[in-house]
Amino acid sequence: MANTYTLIASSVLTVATSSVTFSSVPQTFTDLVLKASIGKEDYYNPSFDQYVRAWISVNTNVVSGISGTFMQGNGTAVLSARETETQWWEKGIFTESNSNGANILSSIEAYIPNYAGSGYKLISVDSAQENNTASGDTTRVGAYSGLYSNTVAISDVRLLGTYGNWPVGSSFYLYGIKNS
Amino acid sequence: MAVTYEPISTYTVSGSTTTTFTFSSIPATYTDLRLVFNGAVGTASLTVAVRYNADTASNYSLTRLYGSGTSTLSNRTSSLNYIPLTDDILIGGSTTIPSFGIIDIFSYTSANYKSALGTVSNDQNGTGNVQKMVSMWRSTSTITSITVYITSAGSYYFASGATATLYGIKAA
Repeated sequence: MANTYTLIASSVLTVATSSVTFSSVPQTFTDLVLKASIGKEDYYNPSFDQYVRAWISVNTNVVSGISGTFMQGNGTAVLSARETETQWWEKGIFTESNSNGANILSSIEAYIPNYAGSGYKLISVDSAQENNTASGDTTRVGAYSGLYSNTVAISDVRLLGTYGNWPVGSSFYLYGIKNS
Repeated sequence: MAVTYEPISTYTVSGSTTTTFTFSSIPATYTDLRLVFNGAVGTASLTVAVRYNADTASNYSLTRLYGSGTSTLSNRTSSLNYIPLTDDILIGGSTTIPSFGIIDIFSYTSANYKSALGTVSNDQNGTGNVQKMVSMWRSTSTITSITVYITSAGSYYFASGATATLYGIKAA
């Protein structure tokens, strides 16, 4: 039987970079899976908040139709919130705390079912970052449910940093899954 | 390299009268199973659920973490007669916005009770929820079939185009 879980493309950073785009995604798979291990950005905007986020967009930053519902825990409390009508899924996909040191990578796994189909598109994201901190608001584990209210096929997937560049060694992998 | 992630079977809903479908004769040659559902279920708040081996007794239980978009909760339910694949609280309400559910069923051929991890991704553009759950089936039997169904079927149906795929995962 043919292999049905296939690496489409990957990017392991050799220079600090603020975004990674997987373009011209083949339309031959059933679902997509995006996995990323991301280090701390090199710039932190104190007016934003302590957390740097990875934003995910499709089809070169669509202008509308993006919404999401998420929940997260920071080691002491949980919350749930949502966003609507944005260009990208930007809240609740946390990568790293500003207090993170070197050698700490955050993990993201995103599942995009039926990305080439004719219906509205979904994305399900798990993200986590842990830094061995016993107190304070510095770690996160989260689950994100996103919707792209458009019937157009997804042809590119992009991850964007919040303000700075991700460090060398951050890695990004896009897989395709076939159901036959 | 050996193929370790294989589709066993896919069911795609056609028409507008489907309320249940079954993956039967599941090979016992894998280590774990993954069931992936993507689809809409109609115009009401409904539960899409699964049962193993057509067991309709109260042999299932569930612990869940739930985010509504404004609040969170964790709860549990014992002695269920099904495992929800998507949830009844806010799923539905649209025939065009799909919901997404995954159940990872571990060691489905073992002689122990069967545990599974579930994810529900159900944003509905202004409403919706996201969930993580663990479930258990109190049976030592090998899972040989999985039925996917709407718990309040009779008036509501899977939307045409809804799909479910059962994958087998081999440890070697």
